[in-house]
Amino acid sequence: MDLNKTWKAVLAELELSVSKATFQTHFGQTSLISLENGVATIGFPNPLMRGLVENRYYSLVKSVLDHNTKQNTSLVFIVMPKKQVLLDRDAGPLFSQENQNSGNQTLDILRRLHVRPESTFDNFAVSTTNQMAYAAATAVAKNIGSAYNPLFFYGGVGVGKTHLMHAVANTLILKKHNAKIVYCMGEEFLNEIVEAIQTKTSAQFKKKYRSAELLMVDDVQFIAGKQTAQEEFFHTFNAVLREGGQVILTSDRPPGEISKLEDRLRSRFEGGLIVDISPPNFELRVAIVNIKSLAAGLTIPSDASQMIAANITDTRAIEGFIKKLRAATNDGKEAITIDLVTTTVGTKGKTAGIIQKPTKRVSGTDVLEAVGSYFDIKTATLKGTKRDRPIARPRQVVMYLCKTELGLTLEDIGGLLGGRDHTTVIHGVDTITTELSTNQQLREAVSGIKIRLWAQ
Amino acid sequence: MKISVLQENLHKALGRVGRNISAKPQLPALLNILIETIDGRLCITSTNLDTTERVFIGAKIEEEGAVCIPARTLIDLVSSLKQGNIEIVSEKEKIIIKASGVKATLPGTLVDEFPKTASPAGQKEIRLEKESVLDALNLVVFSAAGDTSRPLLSGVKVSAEEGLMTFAATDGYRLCVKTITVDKDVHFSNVIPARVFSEVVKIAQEEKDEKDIVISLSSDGQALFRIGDTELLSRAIDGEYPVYQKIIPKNHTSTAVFDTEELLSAVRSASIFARDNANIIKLHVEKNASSVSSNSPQAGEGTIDVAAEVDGEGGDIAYNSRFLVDYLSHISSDRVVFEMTGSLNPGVFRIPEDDSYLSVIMPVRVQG
Repeated sequence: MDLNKTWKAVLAELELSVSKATFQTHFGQTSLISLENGVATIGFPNPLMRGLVENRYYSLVKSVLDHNTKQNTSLVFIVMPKKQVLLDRDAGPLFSQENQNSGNQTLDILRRLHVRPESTFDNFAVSTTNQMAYAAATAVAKNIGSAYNPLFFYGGVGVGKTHLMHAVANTLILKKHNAKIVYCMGEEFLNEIVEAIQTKTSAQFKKKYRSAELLMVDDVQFIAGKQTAQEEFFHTFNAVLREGGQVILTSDRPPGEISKLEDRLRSRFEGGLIVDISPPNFELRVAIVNIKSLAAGLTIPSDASQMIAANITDTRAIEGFIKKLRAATNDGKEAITIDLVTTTVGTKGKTAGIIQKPTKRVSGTDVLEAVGSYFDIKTATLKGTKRDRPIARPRQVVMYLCKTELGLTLEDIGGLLGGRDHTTVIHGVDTITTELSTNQQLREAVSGIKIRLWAQ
Repeated sequence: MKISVLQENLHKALGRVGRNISAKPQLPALLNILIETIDGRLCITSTNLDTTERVFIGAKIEEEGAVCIPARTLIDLVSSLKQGNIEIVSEKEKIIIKASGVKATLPGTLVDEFPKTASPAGQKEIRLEKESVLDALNLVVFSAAGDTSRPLLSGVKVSAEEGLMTFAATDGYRLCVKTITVDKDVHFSNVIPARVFSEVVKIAQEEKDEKDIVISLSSDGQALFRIGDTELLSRAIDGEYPVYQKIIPKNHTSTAVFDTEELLSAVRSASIFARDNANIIKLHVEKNASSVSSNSPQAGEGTIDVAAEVDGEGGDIAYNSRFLVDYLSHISSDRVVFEMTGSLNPGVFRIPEDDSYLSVIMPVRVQG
C-alpha cells in the first residue's frame, strides 16, 4: 500500500473534522512513516506537536486511519523532523561562484588564450602509437624553449596532436600565470594577416605573435601556398625562437610532404623534432573510452568499453558516442550494460552491425563460408570465375569483410577467392564501402553475416 | 497550587520567557505562561513550538501544582507590583494573585492545553566557557540568513573536533567563521537556529555571574542550552550545511589594513548616498589613495578618503554597505585586514594576527 496516498486520504478526512487552523498546526507537517502489522508510525516535526496530537487527537486519528485502512491499527507517534536539503546553487552567490576562487582565475586565463583546460597530460592516454609524442611534449613542457624547438606533430584526425599541444600550454600556465601564449589555427593566422593588412594594424599583429613565449599553430599546412602568410610566419618563427620562445606545430603530414611549403620554412620545421602520431590501437582506444567516460561521469564496465573501442576507431567519434551513451542512460543515472552499448552502437547507421566480440578469432575461410551460406551460394562458386551480379556482389562482400574486419592483405584475399588480382580486391572493397553508406539492404546483409561470424 | 515568590525574581523570569512568545502563535494556548512547581522550585515556561524557554526560580511552596496564565496580563500585572512577596493561589479555574494591597483574579487556562515540554533527559552534557562562546556568537550570528526560506542558512553551523569548536554562519552573501578552543573530548556537529543563539546571547549577557553554558542534545534532534537557572530548548536544523570551507579564498592579490572605526564611519557616510541605490558602496583600494564612495542620481555622490596600508595592486570592489557595517560594528579589534582579488571575487576580512576569525563577503557586480 502506498503510505503517502493513505496518509493523504487520512489528512483529507481529518481536515473535515477539525478547524482549518488546528489542522494546519497539528497535521500540516506530519507524515505516515510506516504501517505494518496494524501499527502505524506517524512522524511529527517536533516533540511538542507530537505530545499535543497524542493527547488530543489520538482517537480521532486512529478512527480515521482505521476507516481508511479497514483494519484495527494502533498508533505510534515519533519525532521525525524534515531533513533540510540545500544545494549550492540555491545557497547564494558566495556558493554558486565557488570555483572562481581557486582554479577559476587560471580558467579565465586559459579561456582568453583559447587553450582547452580539459586537455592536460593527466588525461592523455599513452600507448606505443603516441609514446614518443607524449615524451617529447612533456619534455618541452618542462623546458620551454630549450628541449625540442620547434616541436612538430603530425598524424591523422583525432590522434591527439592538439591535445598534446594544449597540455603543454596548460602546464605552462599552471607554472606561470602571465605566460604569453599564442595559439591559433593555421587558417586563423592567415586571416589575421589579411585583416592586419586591410586595417593597417600589422604592427600589432607582429607584436602579438613575435613576443610569444609559446607559439602554437594548429594545422600549419593551411598556410602553405600563401606567400605573404608564409613570409610573415617565417619572420614570426625566427623572432620567437630568437627570444627563447617555444614553437609547437601540428599538421596532417610531415613538413616534407606539405606541398607548396616554402623551402626555408620546411628546413626550419625539420630543424626541430618531428613526431608522428599514429591512429590509436585497440588498447589505447579502450583507455581513451575509460578516460572520456570518467570525465563524463559515467561508469562503463570493461566488456562494454572494449566493445566501444573495437567498433569506433576515431577518438572524436568515441567522444561523441560517450555523449550519446550519457543521454541514453539519462545522464548516467542508469547503469551502462553491454546490451545498451550494443544497441547504441547499432543505431549509429554507418557503423551499424560492426559489432564484434574482440576476442573470437575468425579466418578468411570462415568469412567465405558465412557469406556463402547467407546468400545461399556455394563457396566454390564464390571462388569461381562467374561474374554475374548475384555472385559478384557476395564475392565483394567477402573481400570487404576480409579486408576491414580481418585485416588480411590484398594478395591473401585474392588467393582466398581463387587467385584474383589484388586490384580486383581493391575495387571490391571500395565498392562495398561506398555502397554501405547508401544501401540499407547491403548494410543488413553485412551486419547479418557479421553476427553469424562473431556470435558465440 | 499555593506559592509565594519574590516580585523581583518573578518579574525577571517573566520578562525573559515573555520574549519567547510569538505575537500570532499557532495555538491559542501558546499565549500563556506555564507556572509549575518542580523539585521545590518554581518553573516558568513559555513556548512557540520551535523554541521553549524555562526559568527556574526559588519560591516558598505550600501546595504543589501547575497553573497556566495568559502571558500578557501576568507580565503587565507583575511588573506593576511593588517589590516584595507575591502569593499565587489556584482555585479551580481561577488564579488569585495577592501582593501588598493588591488582589487580582485571573481566568486560568487548562494546564493540559499547554504543550508538554519536558527537557530531554539522560543526555551527555557539554560544558563550555560562557565568555568565549558569547564572543564567538557575537561575531558570527549576525551573518546568518534572517528569513527562513532556506532553513539551513537561518542556522549557525557548530562543529567541535579535537579541542576546536567552529561557529559558521552564512546567508549566501557573506560568511563569518570563528573558532574557539574547547575541551578535547567535546564532539559536536549541528546546525542551531540563529534565533536561538540570539536568545542565548541575551540570556548569557543578563546572567553576568554565570561562567558556563551547558549544551545537551537529545536523540530526536532537540538541543538544550542551560545558563544558570534558564533553559532554552530548541530543535536543531536537520540537514547538510553547505561546505563553507571551500568558498574561503585561498589566496589574494592585494591586502589593505584599515582602522576599523575610520572605515566604519567612512562606510556609514558613503551609504548616505547609496540609499536609493541598493546600498551599494564602492571600496577603492590604492596605495595612499584608498577611499569609500557611493552615488545615486537622486542623492548625489560622496567620496570619503580612508587611510590604509596597501600591499598589492589594489582595485575597486563594490559592496552592500549593510554587510560592511554589520561586520565592522561587531568586531572589537582596532584594525582590520582586507584581502581582495579583483572586483568580482569575494573579499576576506580578518583581524590582524588572529586566525580564529574571518569574514568572507561577496561583492556586488556593478555595471561599468
